[in-house]
Amino acid sequence: MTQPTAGPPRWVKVTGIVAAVLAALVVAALLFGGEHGPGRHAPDVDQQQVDR
Amino acid sequence: MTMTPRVRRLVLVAHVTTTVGWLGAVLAFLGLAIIGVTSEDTATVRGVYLVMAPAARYVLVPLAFASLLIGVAQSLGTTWGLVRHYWVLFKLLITAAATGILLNYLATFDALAAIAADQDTDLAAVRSASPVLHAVLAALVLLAATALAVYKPRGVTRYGQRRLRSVGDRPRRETPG
Repeated sequence: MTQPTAGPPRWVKVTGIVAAVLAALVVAALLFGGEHGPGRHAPDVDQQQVDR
Repeated sequence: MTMTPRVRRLVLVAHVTTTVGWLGAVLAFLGLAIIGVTSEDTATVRGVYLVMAPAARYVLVPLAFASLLIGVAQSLGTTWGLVRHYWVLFKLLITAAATGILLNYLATFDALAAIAADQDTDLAAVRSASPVLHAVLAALVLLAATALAVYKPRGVTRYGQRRLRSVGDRPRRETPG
């Protein structure tokens, strides 16, 4: 007969939930928060020409 | 395969050095990033973004891979294993995720350097808060990984429990980082 396995300790559950919420927020920000990545840092050329 | 005590200590030194060195390098990047958004000197601001791209490639990336690979080797070479204890598993996931995000962020470093190199670009457009944010998050994540390695909170995975029952493989003073 196999012995039952103990569940994960509380710190693992809490950390897992916090990590999942943070990951969901990051994914949501990436999907709905506009462009993320190197293109985000490119200056607005048209705006610069207007400024000059 | 279990490492001999001499090899284990040598690998531990390498793992601690690369992991803490990575954290130190991230803090240095944070300092540079803050200078980039606060300095009034044009050459300094442009220089910050110009130096970040190669410094990330030649310092951050090698330290990240060294920390990850040495950590994996160390875990597999001791009775801690790679997926037997939750803290080892969490530390592996943190290090792998941080390395992946760093590799993805190299393109941003290149873009920031290209903008800084263009003398026609206004200084306001050269400045970016993105490296500050990413360096703060990276430092926090690497601090969490370091804390896991020091405190080693209890908790054995299901695989670890099965393994313990089958071979009685308990970790002793063999520390994977």
